[in-house]
Order: sequence, then structure tokens, then C-alpha cells
Amino acid sequence: MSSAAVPESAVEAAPYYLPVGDEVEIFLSAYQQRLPVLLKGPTGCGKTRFVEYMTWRLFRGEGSSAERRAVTTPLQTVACHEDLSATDLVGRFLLQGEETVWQDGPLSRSVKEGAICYLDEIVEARKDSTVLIHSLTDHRRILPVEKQGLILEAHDGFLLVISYNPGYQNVLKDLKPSTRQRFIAIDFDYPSEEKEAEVIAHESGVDAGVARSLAILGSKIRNLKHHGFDEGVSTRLLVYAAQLIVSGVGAVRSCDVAISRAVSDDPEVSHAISELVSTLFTDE
Amino acid sequence: MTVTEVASVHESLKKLNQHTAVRFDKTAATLIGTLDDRDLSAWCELVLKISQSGWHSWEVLNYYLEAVPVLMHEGGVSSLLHRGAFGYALLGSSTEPASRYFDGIAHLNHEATFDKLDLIEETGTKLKAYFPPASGLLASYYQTSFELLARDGSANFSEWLALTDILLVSERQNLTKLYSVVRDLDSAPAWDSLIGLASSSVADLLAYLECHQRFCELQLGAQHQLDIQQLLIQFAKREHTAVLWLEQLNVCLPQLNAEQLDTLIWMTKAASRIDLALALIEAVHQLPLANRRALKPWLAEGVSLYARNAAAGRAWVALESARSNETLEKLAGTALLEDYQRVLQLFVESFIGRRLIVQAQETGLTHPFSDGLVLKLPENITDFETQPENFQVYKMMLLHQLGHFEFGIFAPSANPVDNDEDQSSKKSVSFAEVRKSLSAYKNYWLAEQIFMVVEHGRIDWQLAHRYAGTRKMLSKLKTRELIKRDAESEAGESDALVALSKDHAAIAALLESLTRMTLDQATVAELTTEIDLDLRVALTAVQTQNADVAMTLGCTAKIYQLITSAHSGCDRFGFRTRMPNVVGYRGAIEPEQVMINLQLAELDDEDLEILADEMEDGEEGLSIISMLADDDLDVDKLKQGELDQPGTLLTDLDEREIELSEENKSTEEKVAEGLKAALEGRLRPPHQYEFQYDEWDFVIGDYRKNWCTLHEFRVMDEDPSYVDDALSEQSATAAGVRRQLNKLRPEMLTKVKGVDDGEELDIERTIEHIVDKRAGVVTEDRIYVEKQRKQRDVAALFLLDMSASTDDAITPAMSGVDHAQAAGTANSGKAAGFDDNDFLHDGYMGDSPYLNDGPARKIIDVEKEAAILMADALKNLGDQYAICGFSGYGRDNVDFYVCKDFEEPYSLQAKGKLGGIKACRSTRMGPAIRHATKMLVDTGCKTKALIIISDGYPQDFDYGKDRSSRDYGIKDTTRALVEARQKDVQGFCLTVDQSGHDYLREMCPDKQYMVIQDVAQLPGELSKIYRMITG
Repeated sequence: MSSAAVPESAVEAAPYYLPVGDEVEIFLSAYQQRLPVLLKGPTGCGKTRFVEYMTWRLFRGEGSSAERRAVTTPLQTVACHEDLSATDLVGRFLLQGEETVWQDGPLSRSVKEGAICYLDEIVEARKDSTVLIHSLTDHRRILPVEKQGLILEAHDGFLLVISYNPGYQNVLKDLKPSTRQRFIAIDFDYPSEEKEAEVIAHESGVDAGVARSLAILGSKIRNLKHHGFDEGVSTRLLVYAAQLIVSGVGAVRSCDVAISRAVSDDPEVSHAISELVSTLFTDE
Repeated sequence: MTVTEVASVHESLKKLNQHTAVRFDKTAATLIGTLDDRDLSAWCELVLKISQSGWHSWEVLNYYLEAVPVLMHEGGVSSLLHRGAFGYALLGSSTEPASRYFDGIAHLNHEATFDKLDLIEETGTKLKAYFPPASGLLASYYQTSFELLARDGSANFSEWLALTDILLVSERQNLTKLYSVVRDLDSAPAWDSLIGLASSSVADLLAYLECHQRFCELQLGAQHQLDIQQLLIQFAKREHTAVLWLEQLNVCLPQLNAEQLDTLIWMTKAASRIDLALALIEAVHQLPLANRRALKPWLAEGVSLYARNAAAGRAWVALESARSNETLEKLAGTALLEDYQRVLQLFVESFIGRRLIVQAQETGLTHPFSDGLVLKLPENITDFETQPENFQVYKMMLLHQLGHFEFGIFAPSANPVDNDEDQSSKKSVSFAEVRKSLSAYKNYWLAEQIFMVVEHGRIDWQLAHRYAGTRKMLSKLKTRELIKRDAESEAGESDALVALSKDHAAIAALLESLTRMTLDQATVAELTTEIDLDLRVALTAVQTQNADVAMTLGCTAKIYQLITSAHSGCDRFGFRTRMPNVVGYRGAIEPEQVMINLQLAELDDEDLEILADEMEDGEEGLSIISMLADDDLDVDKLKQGELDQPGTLLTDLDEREIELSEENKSTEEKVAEGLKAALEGRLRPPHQYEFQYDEWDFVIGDYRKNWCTLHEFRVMDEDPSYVDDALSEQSATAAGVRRQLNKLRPEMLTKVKGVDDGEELDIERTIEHIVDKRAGVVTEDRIYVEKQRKQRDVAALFLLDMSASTDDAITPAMSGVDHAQAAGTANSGKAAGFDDNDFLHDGYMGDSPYLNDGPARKIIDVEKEAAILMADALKNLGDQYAICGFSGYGRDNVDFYVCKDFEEPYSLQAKGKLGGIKACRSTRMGPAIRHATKMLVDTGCKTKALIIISDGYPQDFDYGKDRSSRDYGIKDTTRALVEARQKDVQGFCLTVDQSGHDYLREMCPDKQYMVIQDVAQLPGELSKIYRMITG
């Protein structure tokens, strides 16, 4: 099984999320109408954090209904991969002693409880699992459980959210139009330097000046994204670098391990990135 | 009695020449009373004898009479008579020697020189004895010697005469040349130091003397002259003539300062071989002459190598070998642009988010420059001792230039990304606005100069504020720059100011002072006036963290006011003075050209073409210029023809041109230049289409670094109908080739899970299956994993020889009449595993165009058709392939044509280019193979194949020093194929050259080449080979 439910604590406490556009309002409106949502954006730009934030806002924040507050696991996140099958999502029989016991998968749980099910990088999953999406994302809102011979009707509070990274070319080919057109799409990208600096500072605790420099670094590295790495450097990596700095590692060295070496294997590209780092930072 | 004699002589002379007679009288008058009768009588006799000695004897007598006062002064009557007799003895078939002798004496003006007369006579006598009939030579000797004596005095004069002594034993022409060259010298060398050289090598002595005048003009120090002479002696001892070396030294001397020349001489001494000395001169501009520490071990290695392999040693010292370059770079800490060009290019692109091509600056220029499209940097940096530091200099040069684009006059107007207010997104002041602001000043030139100096300073201060990592190097560079400026000032550059008027000098000094302040100079010693302090105060505004272009403009206004208040004469149109020298690491920028180019860079190709067309139309062209000049390019307006009042624009433009610098190009010229560069850049960005490759030189056993320049062409003549015609004519052959390739099977293995049968169990599915079964659920048994061949991962490059010989027609011998015989002998046994059945039964030869009666087909046609048939068959296979051709002439002009690249579709254009291939010139295979290898490696495919189709051995006019030998080309090509194999590129050579075995067996290992006996077989054989390599 490859699914993972987000720990309770992450949703009980308000996750930090800095809006960059109107994505919050759009999501709220989509949820209101129970329109499935597709999040498009490069890796490490905040899609998963956004989903966590919106889940908190809808299920634990001000204005959330008592019914939604009662949902124990309001967010089920599944990191999809090529071996993820329908069984992994829907559920399977397990052996317990001499008995076979049915266990719901994350999708079934979400459908039953009225939670948000977030399928991250859905196109990586096998074809039989993407087929499940169709019946859940049209007017039927049903989930067939073949092995039990059941058809689950989605709870009123259920919402399906999927994400994918448009930087991978094969993705566009594999996400069929019939699947794509069941979702409203919100585009994500790396935030502006100012906002990214704010995020970095908040996530790592590093001072504003360093955070700003890291954000500038990220912005500049992204200008190279056509030279062998399609996405530039993610906000996540910048946060990692900041965290290393906070823990006492020199700024240049932190960026070297967290960014330069992680982003590209091309020695000249790595060299150029290292020079960007040494322009912005000094270990002295 | 004496008087009678004198009168008698007079009468005699009168018959000869009236003037001579008069002169005699005057001279005699001075002697009467001084000489006694006997001496006077002797003298008269001598005079008479001289006058009767022959044709034009009166001329000789004139010279003698002129010399009389000097002779009397020198040694009295004995000298008068002795020297006279000596001169008389010189008369023979020519009067010249005697004339020159007496004339020389007449011009002696110093007593100290009289002592040398005996020596002159002595040497002259020897010379006459050696070359009796050479009166011209003798005359030349006397003339030269006396001129030297009169001009330079007696010091060192004996040594001069000793030279003649030494050269007496050599050929007469040497002495003739000696005297001729020496007479042309403005100043004489130290003759004593040349004695040794004269003894060693007369040719070198004469060559040296020929260079001496130039040495003097260049103010070559005495020690350097001596050193050079010593070197010549050193070479001569080894029986080497250094004439060529001297000539080349003469050429490069003006570019060397004293220290550099010291080093060169030291190295030449250490090298001690004329061969290596010549090599050093060749490499002199590339050597880090200021860095002896690095040069010493490098040179030692070269000298040692020379002892083992002279050619290798020479190539080492001339910096022609790759290892030599690497060693020196490592030792010297030199940063070469070519080593870091890509890194710097990437750095630029990342920094400003757009492409700015990084290129080498013209040789000799050491500061960076940008025009908005290209950023030029010096070819190498040797400012510091280590490479990393020198690389940082490159980086700082870039950063300063980029600063203009990031937060200077070329910063883009930022649109707010977010709705919240953001200070950094405010619109920056554009250059158009700056120019408009500066145009308001009476002296635009002065305002512009002040603006640029202050703006450069602001850029540096902003860099330091924003980028902590730049502060240290920036500080070092500023310090170096100030030291350099101080040195220039001490060396006399300030003398240039002396030539200016007071006002001009004052303004020039102020501008220099301002520049130094932007370099953080703490004090300016020369200026401690109030204006100095005021300038510093004005500059503080642009030193703050958020200082922008608007602040530079404000600062400019203040400084302009300060300067013109102190020197009101400069506050007028047309006043200019000497500009401060460019700050080395800051370089120069042409703001107007940059602005034009930036706008043009934003346009797409179609709009560029429109603009180019419009520029040809004079009236509307001016509107474009105006738009570009005002940073207001609106192509849509132009397309729609919505241009208001072109007449007004014309007037405005005229006025603006007058205001702007008259020395610079007009705006129209800049637009034209920018358009041309933009259009050319779209077609052929220079850095993408020119490649440098090393070449293997088996003689020196090393690579010659960056020896070949390969030009890649992607635009060429097209013949679209050729491909269709070829396919139509050879439809049967095409079918056969397709059949061959269809036998290729996908090779890449992919794991497929959930199949009914396979090599392994999928554990997860198996468990699930068992559990579901227990639960009573009916499930499928697809629990296995199988490795299936799903796809091929192949890239193949077909490389066609386009040399001139491929233009030859196919001869009957090459086309092969007997099918069966040809089929049987086609394969030479070098490529095993071929299935000949297809060849025999599929009727390749049946409709072969090679056997038809038609216009003679050429080898190049056969090559093209083979490629066409392969391309036609490959399109269904899914393999990546490229079709290229190569030719060229010389190592600097290797031409590489890309008809179809790997990722390109086999489109009409690709077909047209393939059809348009034609025979060109030479066959320099090595660089072509290296370039093809690079293309193949870049695909990242697992199987990479390079198939070369040629008609002969590799050759080019400079493919090796010995033009008659094929070895160099063959060995370089062999090496290139080895390099390809090391990069997992499989090479295969096909040739129609019947003697191909001779060299291909060396170039390619067994089974990696084939000699095609019958050209008609080429397509079929090619497909089989393709199967073999990639299957």
C-alpha cells in the first residue's frame, strides 16, 4: 500500500500557506460546488501545502460546519506511482489469522467519511486506478468496489483533488482529455521573490535578509530551466537550504548541498549555479 | 722661387678647372709664410700630381684643398704631405676612394679623432689589398668610417675598424652591405659588443644591424640590445642563423614592454635552440610573460621534450599542443575565456533571464563591452596568480555589465506581480528618458560623461549592497584599478593634459577625479579644493542601498552644476575634453545601440523582416528609427501604416542627430547594424555554429589544441525534387532497404507487470490474488512479470563525404556490369554475418540506374541516394537519425552540413537540403567525426552509430606538415574513431575507393569498414550494415 494519511496534527494546527493569487477563493468556490480540482505546477511549489491549508480551512477553520469538524481524517493524501493500482486506492482483503478482512483504501475512506482525497501525481498511477476517477468526478459521484460488489455513493462533503507536474512531457499525453475535463484547474508556479522569501523565512526561521537572498537565488536558477532540468529549483529546496543555514552550516555550503548538486548533473550548469550562490552569499 | 712655383701650379690648374685654381690660390696663400720653401715646393708638387692623376682629378684636388686646414691643425706639414701622399696613392681606376678620404678628413671636427687617422689608413690599406679592384667598396669604407668618427667620436671607433678586419675574410658583398646599413643608422651600436657576433656569424651581424635602427626607434635599452646580441652569438655557435628570429622579434617588439621583453629574452636563453626561440616568438602573445614562476617549469618541460622529440618540443613551446596549454594554464593561473565560456553564458542567462551571447573581445582589447546582443570579454585574464581568482574577474566584469540590465538604464519596467505594493517593482528610468534629460543640458557631452561615470559607480555600489559575495573581489579590483591609474599618471599620461588648455585640463582632471571617487579612492591628492569635497558629497546620494537611475540623474545635475560653476567655459555646446580612461573591469557600453538591440531582440522573425524591408524605404525607415530611438517600437502601428506626421519626425531626428555626439554612428546606422545583427543572430547565432576541435598530431604524440575550426551549416541550397525523383527511380531498391530494416527488432527491455506468463512472480499481486481467492473473489491470474522488448534506443548519424572527388562520374568499372560476379565479390569479407540472399533475389540490380544509359551519375549522387533510401526506411522504425555532410578547405574552414538533425522531422526542408548536397573541396575527416560524435553523444541514446560514406582517404592541404604524406590525416582520423568508440559510438566506414583497404585497415578495426566494389550496392550494403550495428 502506498497511500498515506496526513497526520492529525498537521490538519489540527493551521498549516502555513501564503496565497500568491486567487487560488484560495477558487478552491473554496469549487468545494462549495463540489467540483473536482486539478492542481498543476512544478515540484515543490506548494501544491500539497495548499491542499493541507484548504483542508484545515474547510474542516477546522472558522466557518467550518460541525459535520465537517467531526470528520476525523479530513485529508487523505496518496502519492501515486506506477505500481499504484485500483486496489491500493479502493481497498483489499487482508489476512488476519485465518480470516480475510476487508480494509478500505484511502479513496474509499474519503468517499465514505466526506473527506478530501488528494491524489498527488495521478498520472504516474496505473491505468486501472485513473479509471476510478471518472465515476467520482461526474454527476454520479460514485465509487465502484468490485471486490465487494458494492457501489459507494460519495458523502456530500467528499472532494477529489488531483495534482500533476506539467514539466514532464509524457504526463500531458497520459492525462486523457476525458479525465482532464472532469476537473477545474488551478495553475501553480513558484511565487514572486518577495513572497517566496516570506515563505522561506517562515518555514525555516532564517532571517529575512537570507530568505530574500535565497528567493533571489531561486528566481535566477529558474532562468536556466531549459538547460537540462525542466523545473528550476523548488521552493522546497530553498527551504532546505535555509534550514541548514539555521542549523549552523555556512550559507554557501548549505546552498551547495541543498541546491547546486541536487538540481543538475551537468558540471557546467552546476558550476554556474555555484557561482550564483557565491555571488549572493559569503561564508565569511 | 716658391712663388713662381705656386703661380705655375695655378696656371696649370686654371686649364683644369677655374674654381680649383682659385681655391688653390687661397690655400697656398695660407701656407706661404707657414711652410718653408722646401715644404711648399713639395706641397706644390703633390698638388700638381693629384691634378694630373686622371679624369675628374680636380674634384679630388678640391677635397684635398678643403682638408688642408684640418691637416695642418692635426699634424702640421708632415700630416699635410703624408696624408696627401696617402690620398694620392688611393687614386687608381676611380677617384672615389681618394675623394672620400680627403672629404672625410675635411669634416673631422675634434682633435680626439685625429688619432684615428692612422688606424683608418691601416685598415683601408688592408681592404685595398684584399679587394684591389673594389674602388667603390674602398670609397664606401672611407665614407662610412669618417662619418662615424665625425658623428660619434673616437670612443669605440677602433672596434668599428676591427669589424672591417673581421669581415675582410668574408665575401665582398658583406662589407658592402655593412657600410650601407651602418650609414643609414641614426646612431651607432656599441661596436665592441658586436665583435663577438661578427666573429660568429656575419649574416646575423648584418641582420642585427638592420634591426638596430628600429631598436633605437623603440628605445630599446642598451642591456636589451646586448642581450639580443648575446643570443645571436649563442645561436651562431650552434651554427644556426637567427635572421628569421630577428625579423620576427622586430615585429613583436612594439607590443612588449620592458619586463615582457626581459622574460622573452630570458626564456630564449634558456631554450638555447633557434627552433625553440622561433616557437617562443610565435607564442609570445599567449604566454603569461609576467609570470616567470609558471613559465620556468613549463619551459623546462618543453626543452626536455625537445631533446627527445624535436617536433613535439617545438609544438610544446609554440603552445600548439594540448598538454602544453593545459600545463601552462595550470601553472599560470590564467583563466581562458574559452574554458569558461559556457559557464559564463549560463551565468548571464540565469542572472538576467535572457540570452546575451558571451564572446571573446578582439585581440589586444582587455576590457568588456556589450551592445545588448553580445557581451565581449577579454580572451584571458592574468590579473591574479590563481585561476579561481582570475575567473572571479570574469565574473565581476559580467556582473558590472549585467548591472545595467538588472537595475540600470536597461532594466525592464516591472509590472507588479502581486496586488500588494512592492517598492522594487516601480518602473525604472529608461535610457530614452535619460537621454531626454541629458539633452536639456547646454553641454550634452559633459552631462553624458558625468552621468556614465556616476552610473558606473552606482552599479558597483549596488552590486556590493545586493550581492554579498561580490564585495571582496570588487574591492580588490577597485584597488588594482586605482594603482594602475596612479602608474599611468606617473608614466606621463598626465602629460596629455598639459597639451590642453587650462579649462579643458581642469575638466579632464575633474572627470578623472570623479572616476577615482567611484573607485572608492579615499583622497585625491591633486585636488583638495572645495570642489573635491562637493563632488564627494554629491556622490553619496548614489551610494545608498536603493539608489536608482533617477538618483544618478539627480547626482549628475548637481555635479554638472558644480563643475560649470567653477569653469563656466565648459557650459556650452561643443566643449569637450579628454575622457577618463575606461575602468578595466567595468568596460564600455554603447547605450543607444543596446537600447535599439534590446527592442529588436523582442521581435519575432517575421517582424524583423518587416522592419528590414521598411528600412530600405527611406521615409518610413526614419519613423522606425525614431521609434527605436525613443524606446517606443510599435510594430503593429508600423504594419498598419498608422504613422503620424513623418515630416515632423524627420525634423526631430535631424535636430537630435546634431545634438548627439558627432563622432558616433548616427542613429540610423545603429538601427541598421542592430537589425543586421538581430537577423543574423536568428539565422546563425555565432556561438552555436562554430566549434573548435583538437587534432591528433602523431609526430609530436599529442593533440594540437583547438587546432580546427568547424563551421556548422544548417541553411544550405535545397533541391526538394531530388528526393522524390530518387525514390521514384529506385523504388525496388527502396523496398529492399525497407525489408532489411524491418528485420530489426525492438531491443530495449521494459518490465511489464500483470501478465499471464513471465520470468518472475509479482509478489504483491500474488499475495493479493491468494487473499482474494480466500475471500471468495474471482480474480485473474495475471501475477507474473515479463521483460518485453518494447522499443529501440538507437541514434545513427550518416556522414557523407562531400569532397571534390565525389563530383567524379562513376566509371564503368565502378558500376559493375556482371551482376552475379559483382554480387559474389561485393563483400570483401570484412563485415561478416550478412545475408546475401536478399541481395541476389530482391533484384537490387534489376532497375539500377547505374547501368542505364543516361547522363553520367556521380559518386555524390550515389551517396545521397543511399542516404535517401535509408531515411525513407528509418521513418517507420522509430530510430533517431541524422544526415550530415562534410568538406571544407584547411583547418580553419572545416564545413559541416546538417541536412537533418536527430530531433527534426524528415520534412520537406530536410529532404530539400539532402537533395541540395553537392561536392565541395577537401576531406578533413577528423574534426567531422569528432563533431558527429558529439551530436550522437548529446542524444543520450544507448546505441549510437556513426556511418561514414566516403570515396577516398582523408586529405586536406594542411592536414599535416608534409603535404605528400597521407599518414597525418589517416592517423588523426584513426584517433577520432578511437575517441568515438570510447564514448560508445560505433563507427563504420564505407568507401567506394577501391584502394580503401590500404588505409581503412589501419583506421578501423576489423569488421568496421567496407570497400564497395560496385557503387550500385551501396544502398543495400548500407542497410545491412545498419542492421549489424544497431540490431
